[in-house]
Amino acid sequence: MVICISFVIAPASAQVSKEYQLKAVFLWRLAQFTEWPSDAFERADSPIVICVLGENPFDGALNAAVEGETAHGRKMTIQQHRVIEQARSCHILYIAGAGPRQARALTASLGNRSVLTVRDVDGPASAYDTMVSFITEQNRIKLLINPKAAMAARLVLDPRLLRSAEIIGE
Amino acid sequence: MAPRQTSIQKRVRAVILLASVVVLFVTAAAFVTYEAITFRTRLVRNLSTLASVIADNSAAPLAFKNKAVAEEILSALKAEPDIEAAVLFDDNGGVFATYPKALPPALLPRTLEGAGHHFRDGALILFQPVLQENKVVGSLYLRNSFQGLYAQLWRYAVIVLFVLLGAFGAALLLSSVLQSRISEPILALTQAARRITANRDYSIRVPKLTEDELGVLTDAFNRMLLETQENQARLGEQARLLDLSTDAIIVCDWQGTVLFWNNGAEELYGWSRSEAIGKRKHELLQTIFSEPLEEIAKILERAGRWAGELIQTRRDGAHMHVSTRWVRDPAPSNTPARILITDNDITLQKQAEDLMRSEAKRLDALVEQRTATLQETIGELEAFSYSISHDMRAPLRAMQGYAKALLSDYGSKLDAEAKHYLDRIFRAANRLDLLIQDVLAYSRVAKGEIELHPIDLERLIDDIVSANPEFHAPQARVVVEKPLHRMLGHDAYLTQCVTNLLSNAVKFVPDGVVPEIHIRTEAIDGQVRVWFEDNGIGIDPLHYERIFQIFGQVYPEKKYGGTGIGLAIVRKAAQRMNGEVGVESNVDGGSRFWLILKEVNYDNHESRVTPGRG
Repeated sequence: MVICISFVIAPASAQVSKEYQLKAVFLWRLAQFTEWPSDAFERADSPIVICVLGENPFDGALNAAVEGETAHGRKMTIQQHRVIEQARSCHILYIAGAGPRQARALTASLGNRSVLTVRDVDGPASAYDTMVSFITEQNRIKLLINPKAAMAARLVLDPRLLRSAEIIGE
Repeated sequence: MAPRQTSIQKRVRAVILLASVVVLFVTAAAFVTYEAITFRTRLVRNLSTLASVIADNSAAPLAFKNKAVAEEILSALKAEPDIEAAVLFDDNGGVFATYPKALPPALLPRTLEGAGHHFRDGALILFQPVLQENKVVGSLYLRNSFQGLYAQLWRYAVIVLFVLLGAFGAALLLSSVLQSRISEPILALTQAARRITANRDYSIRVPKLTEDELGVLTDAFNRMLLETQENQARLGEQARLLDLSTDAIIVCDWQGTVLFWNNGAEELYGWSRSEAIGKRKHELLQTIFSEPLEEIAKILERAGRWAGELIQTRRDGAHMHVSTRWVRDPAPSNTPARILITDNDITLQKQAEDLMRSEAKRLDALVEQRTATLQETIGELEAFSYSISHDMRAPLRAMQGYAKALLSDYGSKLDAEAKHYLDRIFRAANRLDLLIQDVLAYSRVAKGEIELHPIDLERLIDDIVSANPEFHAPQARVVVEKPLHRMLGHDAYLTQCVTNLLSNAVKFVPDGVVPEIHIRTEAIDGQVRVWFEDNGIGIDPLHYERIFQIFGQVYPEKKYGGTGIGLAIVRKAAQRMNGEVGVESNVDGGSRFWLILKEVNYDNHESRVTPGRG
């Protein structure tokens, strides 16, 4: 099934905002606090693939952030995808600029694949669509985590991560 | 507890208390020292562990810039009151979170340091990097004050103090119980010793309270008491004996100074004990020694004892003979030797001895004088009796001759009665003649000097038997068991002896018995014994001595005849030949007369023997 995504085109700016620089760091650091099942990797030294679906808000910041970093001993690579079908072998999927319904559809299409899904939200109410949500409050970026969704995807989240984030769920 | 403790109780208790306190104190000191030494190490280890946990937990808040969570993590340090400050730095070295939230600036580290710890400003300061994937994502600073250490040491000190006090109290209680086990037997001994010293009462015994060394000591003490008691009794006895003795018993030192002077000495010498003690004995008593005093001292040194006689002077000036015995007292090595002396008054004994000696001399002289007189008288008597006897024979022969003539010439004219009277006169005269002959024989034997020669006894007996019809068959039988020993004798005397013995043997036989005499000899010790064994009537042992005396006949003369002089002549003759005669017999089994003479010795058979008279 091909899901079409309409992207919100962000205003082009030469300088990536400070907010996304921070989010880029948070995004790769999530890899350090997440454990994937072993079948999520083809080989022992396969890199962790961090994908951005849709319009890339990080520009080069994400590439710069992962430069020289490792998670669980693995290197990290950044991929840019347009459609969800391309993103099925990703380990972390940042869904950029999608509305709640769209996001829900995208994550649903991934089924039980071990892909940690991340997106930006405005408030806690819309944080259920992905496993991790970034929310900006008073100039600070907070994490919202839906552990049930992660668990369903056989992802194990570090308790320290859970402690440093806000937990959502019933 | 006793109101007044004796020194052994105090000492035992002090030893127990001191030992307890020292042990406790050393233990406590070791404990506290160990605590003090290991406290820092443990503090560092504890703080490092804490820092690791906090750093680990802080990685996520640092990674996701969650200050609130970081502060919350740090606030867990409330559980450690000694931690004064904690600061979490981010990877840029900026302060990310602090504990407490409002941290006084003074407690902030001036610089961010590498991993490690320092003791500084009375606190332990620790820097711990926060790592994520081996990368430093921040740094943790902890500051632990020493207040805890000091507080803990103080607590230990208080605990040790209380433990010491408690233990001291317990030791005090225990020691009062324990010390009695040791001190009671010793106290019992001490009390007994005091009582014994005060009262000289050795009958006291100490109860045995334990079976250990003190028990052994008590037993030994009691045994010594028993021995002392016995010794005391013995000493008392000996002291009483010393005073009972009439001998003077004196103890002097080596210079003769009197140390002891018993009742006997007081009585013997007239000097009282208090006067004598401390004086020199030989000066006090003006002793005259039988040998020089230096010689006596040498003998005492060598032999240990000396005995002798002294002449001493009593207090009243009387001289006295004293038998004295001295013994060197084997005194203990560290005291000078002493002399034990017993003096025994022998003055009376001396006088008696002198008296007896002079009396004996006087008696000897008297005896000699009387003996001489007697000898003279005896000689006169013998001469007299010989001459009387000799002179009596002439009238007796006349009586015999005229009686015979009367009977033969005028027998037909006399009637029977007159004949009978004449016969009695004739027989009486014969008897008197025999008597006179015997008396003469005895007198001959008793006087004059004789010479002894070797005698052939066999020939002598043969001659006698053949000359006397009454000695051979059928009247008698004389059996000589030849050979007979040769002996020294005198022919005439020996013939007299043998004749008289044979006459006796054939005379004293029961009616109707033929006399039989066996003669044999035996040699004994240079002498020859001649046995005359008969089958006669025998002699009662009561009369053995009497029969050898003059007129010692045992049986009425009518029955057997004889003068009663025969055996007296035998004895006399035997004595003159330096021999002896004797008899053994049974009343029924006959008599065994014996005669002992010198055996012939060819060296001296010619020697002249001068027998004594009597």
